[in-house]
Amino acid sequence: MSEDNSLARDTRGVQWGHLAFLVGILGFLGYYLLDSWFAQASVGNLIFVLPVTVLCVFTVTMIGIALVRRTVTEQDQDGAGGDDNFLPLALSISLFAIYVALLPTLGMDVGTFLFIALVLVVLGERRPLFVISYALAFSALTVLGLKAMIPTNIPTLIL
Amino acid sequence: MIFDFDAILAAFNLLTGSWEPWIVVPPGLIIGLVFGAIPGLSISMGMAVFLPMTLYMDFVPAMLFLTSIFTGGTFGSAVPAILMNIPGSATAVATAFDGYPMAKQGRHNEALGLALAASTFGTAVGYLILFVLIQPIADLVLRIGPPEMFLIVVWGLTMIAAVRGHHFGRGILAGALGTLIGTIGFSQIGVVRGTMGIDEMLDGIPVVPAMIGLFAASELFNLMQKKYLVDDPEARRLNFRGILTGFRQAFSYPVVLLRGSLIGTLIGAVPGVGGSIANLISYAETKRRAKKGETFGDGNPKGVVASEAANSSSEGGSMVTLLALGLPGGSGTAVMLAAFAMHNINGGPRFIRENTDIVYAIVFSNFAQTIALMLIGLMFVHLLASVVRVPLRVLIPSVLALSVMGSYGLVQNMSGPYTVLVFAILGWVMRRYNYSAAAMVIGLLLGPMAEAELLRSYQLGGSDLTYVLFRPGVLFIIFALALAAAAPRLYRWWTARSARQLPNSSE
Repeated sequence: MSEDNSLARDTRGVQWGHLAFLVGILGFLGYYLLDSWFAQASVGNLIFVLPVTVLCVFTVTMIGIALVRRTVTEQDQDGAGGDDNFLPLALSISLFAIYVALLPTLGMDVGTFLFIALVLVVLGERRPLFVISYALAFSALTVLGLKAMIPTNIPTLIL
Repeated sequence: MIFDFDAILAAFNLLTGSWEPWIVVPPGLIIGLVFGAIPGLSISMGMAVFLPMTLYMDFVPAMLFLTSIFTGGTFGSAVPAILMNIPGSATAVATAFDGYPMAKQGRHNEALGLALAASTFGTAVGYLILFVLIQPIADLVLRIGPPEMFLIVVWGLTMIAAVRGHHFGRGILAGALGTLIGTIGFSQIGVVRGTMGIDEMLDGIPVVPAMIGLFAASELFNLMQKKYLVDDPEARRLNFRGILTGFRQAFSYPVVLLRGSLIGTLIGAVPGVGGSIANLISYAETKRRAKKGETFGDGNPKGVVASEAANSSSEGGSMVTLLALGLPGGSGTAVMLAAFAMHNINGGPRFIRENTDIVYAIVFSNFAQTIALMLIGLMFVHLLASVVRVPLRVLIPSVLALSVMGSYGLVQNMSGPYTVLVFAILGWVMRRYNYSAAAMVIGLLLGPMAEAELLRSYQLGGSDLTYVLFRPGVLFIIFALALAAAAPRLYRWWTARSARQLPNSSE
């Protein structure tokens, strides 16, 4: 750790993404406290929510102040995951979001097939036969397995 | 008298009179291993899926079947924790802290062997303690009131924040935020909060899908820049001898094994807490007491042993609560409680008094299960460990899809997959800025319980909380909490003082 620190190189600037994340947390805390308060401003309803929210706001403030006052080190950048190969990462996360959002429309079977096939290609698989056969086998086996295991209907288009 | 020898003999007769009770054990262990090892599935899911089968069994084989799923699953959940940093369940969170760094160093065989040995040892110790101390532990659990339960939860949350990484404040924030998110939906007094008008959130955030998103999906996003889980092709090679070496190595840490098993059994006996906290406390204690505590989190074998011994032994502890009080300690024992009901049996002190032979039969069969787990685990660990050979471009979409399907299977509507998605993105951002996803998960699990216990304490005191400060249990836990928090600093102060004095004394 100390070795890492000694290698860390200061670069001027603030982690704006991190600050935005903290602002998002503050937004959630504000919403949740106000919603709880307006739902019922009684001890029974706020006995836990209020003190924990205060603790969170205090911690967020301390972290935020520390972020603004110090410079970003190379180590922080590593912790932030780096921006190498950002495109496949962003594409895969977007595909995952689209996959989940379209599940009721495409069904588990077609949705899973398309998701597996597309992510395989995005992450560098270049054998079309493998892409199609693996995505087909995986989606068919898992969807049929799930259908056999759970009593309620699952959304499917073909199977 | 602690033991009832007539009941012991009757238990042996129950177990040796027919092969029927035993035939369900190997399939149960394999089901547990598979459900525990596949991210997105869970031990309780495996038990719930196979629960209807126990209708066609007598009570003792039914319990053997379910406990063997439990036993297999506890070890099974360590496999993805070590190989992918994805705990198969909350009970294996601390296993990933050192197991995954070991896997990244190419020591996955050793880590799996360590986990298997600690799991079998922990299970055996847990049931041994159940056998010896079932009556005294039942009395102790009865004395734990709401204030003590609330403090146990706070203790667990503080521990997780303290043991994860170098950012204590971020750990506390993640844990506290998790407890708040865990209280979304109907409050303890029936008020709806934080649902944003979404009906599916009235019952709260589905915890297991949220856990899948925070642990599994967000970690998979981070792995996208790699080709294999383990970069070195030599290190990816599976080695049965390596697993055996790890298995033997675990027994070179007898204190860690015993301490973890004792912590697991005691914590497991507390309803609602169980293995998810036991593994963290055992890990934290082992790290705190270690001479080289700073090596924990970077692949220290003792971390894996401490966590696995505790989560496995907590099964025995949770069985105490189930059998003695009829209270489920967690989701696994909740399924067992359903099996009790299916066989028209009520747990509780009366059950123990009237069916001591059955209680002992369950205990003895679990000793045998540990040996079976050792053999079946050694065979299956090799097979399950082959996941490190799979290229990540294949593994990542497969596990992501499996997580989505698993979450749908658990919740049985689309709120499961939506929760996975939201928490996957949240988890990815948290990892990006060094926030502990584990702390948030524990917060999610314990938030509702913490609120309920705090509210109950307040109501018991007639709208006055000062009475809790006069309860011996509360004072003891506060003292233990303060000691645990101060001990690392005291130890550092003591070693620094000793180091300063050493040159002086040599002069």
